[in-house]
Amino acid sequence: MDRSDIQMSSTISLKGVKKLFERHAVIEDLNLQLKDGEFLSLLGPSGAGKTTILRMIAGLEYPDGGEIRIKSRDVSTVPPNKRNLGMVFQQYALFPHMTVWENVAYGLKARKLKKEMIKEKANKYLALTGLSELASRKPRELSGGQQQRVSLARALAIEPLVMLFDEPLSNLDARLKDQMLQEIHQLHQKLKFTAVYVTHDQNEALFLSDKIAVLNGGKIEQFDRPEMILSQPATAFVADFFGYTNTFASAILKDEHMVSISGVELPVGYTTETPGSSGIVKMRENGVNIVGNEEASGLEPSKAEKSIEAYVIEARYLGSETKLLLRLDQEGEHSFSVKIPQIIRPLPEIHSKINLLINADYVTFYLEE
Amino acid sequence: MIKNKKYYTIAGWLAALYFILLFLVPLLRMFTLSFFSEGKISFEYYTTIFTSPVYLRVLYRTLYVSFLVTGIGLVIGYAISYFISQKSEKQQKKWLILVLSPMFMSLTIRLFGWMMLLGQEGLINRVFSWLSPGKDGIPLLFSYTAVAIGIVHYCLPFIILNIYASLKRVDNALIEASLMLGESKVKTFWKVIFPLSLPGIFAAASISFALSASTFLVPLMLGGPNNLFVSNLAYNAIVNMGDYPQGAALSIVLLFIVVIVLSIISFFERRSRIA
Amino acid sequence: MLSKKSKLFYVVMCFAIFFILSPFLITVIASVAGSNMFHFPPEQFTLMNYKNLFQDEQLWQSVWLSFCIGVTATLLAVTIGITAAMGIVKGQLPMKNVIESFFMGPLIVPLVTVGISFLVFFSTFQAEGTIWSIILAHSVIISPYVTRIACANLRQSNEMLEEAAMMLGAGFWYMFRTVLIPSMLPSVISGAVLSFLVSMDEYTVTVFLAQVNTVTLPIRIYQYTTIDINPTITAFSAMIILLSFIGLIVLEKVFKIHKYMDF
Repeated sequence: MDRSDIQMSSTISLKGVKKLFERHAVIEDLNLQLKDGEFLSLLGPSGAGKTTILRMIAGLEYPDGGEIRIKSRDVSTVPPNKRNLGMVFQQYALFPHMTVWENVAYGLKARKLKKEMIKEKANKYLALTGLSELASRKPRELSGGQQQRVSLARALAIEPLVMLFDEPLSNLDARLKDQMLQEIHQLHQKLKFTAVYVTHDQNEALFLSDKIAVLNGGKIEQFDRPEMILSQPATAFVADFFGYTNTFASAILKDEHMVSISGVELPVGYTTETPGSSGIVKMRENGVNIVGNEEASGLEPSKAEKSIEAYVIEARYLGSETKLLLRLDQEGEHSFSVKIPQIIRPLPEIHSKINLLINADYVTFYLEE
Repeated sequence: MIKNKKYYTIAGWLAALYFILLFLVPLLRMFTLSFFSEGKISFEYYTTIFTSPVYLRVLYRTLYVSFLVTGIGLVIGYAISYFISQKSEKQQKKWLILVLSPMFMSLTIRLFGWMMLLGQEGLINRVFSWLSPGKDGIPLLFSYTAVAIGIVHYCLPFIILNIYASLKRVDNALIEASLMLGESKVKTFWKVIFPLSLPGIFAAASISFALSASTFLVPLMLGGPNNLFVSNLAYNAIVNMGDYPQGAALSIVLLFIVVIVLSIISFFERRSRIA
Repeated sequence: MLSKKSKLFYVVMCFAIFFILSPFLITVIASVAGSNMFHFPPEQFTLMNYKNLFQDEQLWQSVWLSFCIGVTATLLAVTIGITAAMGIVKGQLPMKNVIESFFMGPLIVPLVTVGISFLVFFSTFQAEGTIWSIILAHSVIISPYVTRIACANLRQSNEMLEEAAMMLGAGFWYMFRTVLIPSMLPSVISGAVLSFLVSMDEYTVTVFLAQVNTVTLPIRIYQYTTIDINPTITAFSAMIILLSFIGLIVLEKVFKIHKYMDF
């Protein structure tokens, strides 16, 4: 299919999708819409249901309720071979008895295309993924990164309506992962395919996606663009997943920009709650600095920053950062950890009192769950 | 995937249908045949088996020789398996192929070889009479001894295969740990290696007994007309006397003996696993 | 230097190996002996038996018959084995454990019992003694060797390959042909080779079904060694033994069969 005749509508739409596992709902009333050419990541911890959703879109599993539409066609119970979707698997899933070329041509042969057409397309996608020279090798002769690239070429070669990725990079080491991330991104820029990408790694999701759906316990916690998820995490779970790892319980929202924790006041960058409600505060480890250290840090004092006092429990170096374990009050009920992005010399003494600058953008407030 | 499951299920049912038609139905037909005498249900053929002294003697002999042979086979098989497992990886392969080679040879031809070896003028008797001149040697062929030798030779590869596999599974680190802790080699064998190889011994015992008790060709070729097993009696009943129900009953008794003994062995195996 | 104990062990092992190989050695010796084959030591050297061997039409007829039965029965057994494994491992059969044991049944039920049941069964259609009755009987008793190895193969096979094929647009049969069968092939072939060998050497069940015009090879060998004794059989046996050893070594070199030896 030529990509130009795909109209700009939602390519994928899930409505009220439900999935049971041993009579127990693992996914309930799931709704999701994705536009043509968009890159969506399904992000969440293991067991969040992200792979199940992907497999339902793929047709490897059927939903127990609701409907799945691809290009406005209801495919809820259409078998995978009739959906025209490309999938990249975590363990590559290359056919071991076929060469790289045969792997890439497999989907084209299954479609009974003409010989010249198969040749042309297979060679095109091998070239796009930089595999032309490896075409006659067997998968076992390739490295992990190369194998995943074959898997990518094989899925792209059928020119699918949607590309599906099932944690494709989790078997690669850190260096290869970065390289592949870059390549997938570039391919997406070039080919403008619609993609659903399952991962548990927020960095992959942030790097690749136009939209991210953060999943927890089979439910979507937030479905938004990466920058919105980073700056305005909708729930405490999302905040936690994206690095707001400090939690202060029993906080009271004073006004839209201020929260009080046992009498200590902190600035709040984002909340949807009304003043006066009590709940929890989430705070990032970075975006904090010690008063008197601003110049070195390069952080400019701004309106959004507020200075507070804290007591040192522990102070250690971590790479080129300094990691501090602190508490808001002397009793130590509200402890939290921060990372100062440079090596502070000398290390603050234990039990000493320091003044901290808090960046409001890195603090959020939620109701208790 | 959901649809594929259907195809797999259909495939399974097709195979099952083939087996029901050509394995289960024949067995059931034979089973019913053994319970009918002149159109009426009767246990006549079974009572004959358990009252006739000839049948009882053969039944006893079959069991006796099978147990004996299994015991002998286990001892020899264990020694060979242990010896092989102590060799280097490359050597193991060579030895294994050598000792297991009979499994790939025709049983009829092997037994023919034993006929020539055990005969009155065969190699073994020649060696005996050379060792003790004057005596004419013992007629080995066409005796239960010959049958026992033949069965050991028949079962040995299967025994070795099972015991060797279990010896290979014994973690070398455990043996080294035992030796490091100051146990002697002999004690290490009895306290570590042997108990860990028990599953292989039980498996070997099962297969060896099942093969021995139900063998037909070995007694036929090495036992001669007077040293039969139950299976030969069943054959004679059918082919020589045309008594189908009696043959069927005999072969069903044999089937039950095998199943019962295998169940007993697996009972002991489970108990040894718990202990 | 070897210790005394391991020297002893070596001696015992040599005896064991001699015991294992002795029937083969004696057969090879007897094949070139001019005297009565049951007489040792042989009195003269001769190739007479080998000369006669190639003129013995009866024997070669049996070889050809057994070969045909073996090939057909193996093809059937491979079909049974693959379909059974598909159902057991990936299908939705009730009481899978029972069904799996059922398919392994011919290894447990004494062959005499199986043989009699086939005789009873086929005689109801007056089909005993036909080549097809023997082929069908063999297909049942040799199929466990294929079923077992096919089950093991499917159990450790990668479900994802099948999913990948489907995602790429392959229907079940296309996937079956291009992915499932090729991935099962090496182990199924080794199971099939074993099945074929078992069929070629099957005596106990066959003897209940065979008639004058369906004398298979093992039955012929039995006849030549016990009933109408014919020394040609020594040459034939020696040849088979040599071929088997060569085949075994080749199989080991090509397929590493010692890894599959688990029956």
